[in-house]
Amino acid sequence: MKKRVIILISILLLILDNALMPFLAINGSYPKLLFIFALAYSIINGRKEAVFIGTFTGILQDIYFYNLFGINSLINLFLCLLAAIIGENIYREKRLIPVISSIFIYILKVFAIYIIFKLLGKTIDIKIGIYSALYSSVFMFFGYNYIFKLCNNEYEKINWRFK
Amino acid sequence: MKFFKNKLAVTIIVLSVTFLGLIIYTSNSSQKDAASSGVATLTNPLQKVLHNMNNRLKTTVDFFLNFSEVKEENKKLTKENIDLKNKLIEYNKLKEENDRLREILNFSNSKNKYDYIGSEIIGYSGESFSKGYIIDKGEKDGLAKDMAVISNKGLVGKITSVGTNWAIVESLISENISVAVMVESTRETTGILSGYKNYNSENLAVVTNLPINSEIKEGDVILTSGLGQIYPKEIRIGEVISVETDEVKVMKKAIVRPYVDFNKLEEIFAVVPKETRDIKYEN
Repeated sequence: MKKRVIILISILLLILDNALMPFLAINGSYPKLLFIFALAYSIINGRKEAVFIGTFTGILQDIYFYNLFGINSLINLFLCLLAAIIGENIYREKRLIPVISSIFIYILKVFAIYIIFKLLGKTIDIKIGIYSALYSSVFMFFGYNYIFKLCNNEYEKINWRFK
Repeated sequence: MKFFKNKLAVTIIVLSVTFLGLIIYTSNSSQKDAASSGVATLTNPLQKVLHNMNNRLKTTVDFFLNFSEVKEENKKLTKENIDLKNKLIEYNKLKEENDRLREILNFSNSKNKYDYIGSEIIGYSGESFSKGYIIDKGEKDGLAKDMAVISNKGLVGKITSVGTNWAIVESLISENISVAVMVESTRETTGILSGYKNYNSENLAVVTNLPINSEIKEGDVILTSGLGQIYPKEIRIGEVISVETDEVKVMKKAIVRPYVDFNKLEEIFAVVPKETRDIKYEN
């Protein structure tokens, strides 16, 4: 039930990423809502969910990512896991640490893609990647509380039923 | 063996090995696999609607913000139009003459070797690190990997992967694409063009590997040379805006501003050779 909502949101964000975000580009860099959503979701929900959302969003992003399938899936899997581990050690109600860690994790992703691309004889623009990380954190700042509420509503329902 | 009892760890390891395998497997293949092609077929129509809506909004806002410029441009274009019309009359006369002469000589017409398939851009690809476009024509319409893509202004790039009814185009300002080029004024064909960014992060291109004694200068036009048979011959790419001499490598380097404005692309044409099955452009 809940997974279905998450999957729907992910697909919607993917479409927004490809069709809407490029028009909000600043200096050629635009945010990736899907990845940010995956990070927030994993910070809030812990490791098991992180593996699921990381893999799923990675596969979605890979569909439109040139002819290399699997890069995003692999990187998202590990980075969402990292986000979940960070999430275990913080107060999840406060958004400061999640926002800051999202910047660092995004930059990590840029470097990871850069390294894999270099190995395959291609290259990417790191500077734009870092700009997008900063840009995305703005969306994280405003969106985190909504995602937190969305996830916790579900928990409350379950608690109420079984107590 | 406590480690293997941890279900999560096993899942992660299995998944990562699978993805690694996929990366290596797909790094050489030209086609999008069936699954991703299918998902994209579902999401593409929605994407197309949204993209077109935004594009219209952008052009409208652009129009009002730059109204005075638009007016000026209009004046300039009207003038140019009159000029061109005059030239067209001349051209038609010459063409008729040329056709007649061709018939006499039984010349084959080289420019008729290609079909031009028009397609619309429906989204952006490449996670904003490197520029690519998603277009709404694919394998079904006869496109294949490595075909050249042009717009009315000049070369855009080439197709790097195809699905059934969509394809991904990587533009020439991406650093992953190199084009064999020719300088129009000097007819030197050694140049290699690839993406480049200056300090203002403008999207430019750079031509390397020009001979040190080359007489290339600012304002020269850069064309594709057709070497390597990846791009058709003599498609316009851009104009030289500065020339540098590299003393270490003993060659000249030219910065080129492409004619195509990659932020304002809407419609593009894939160049499909009529006869050859593997994509090679005869020049």
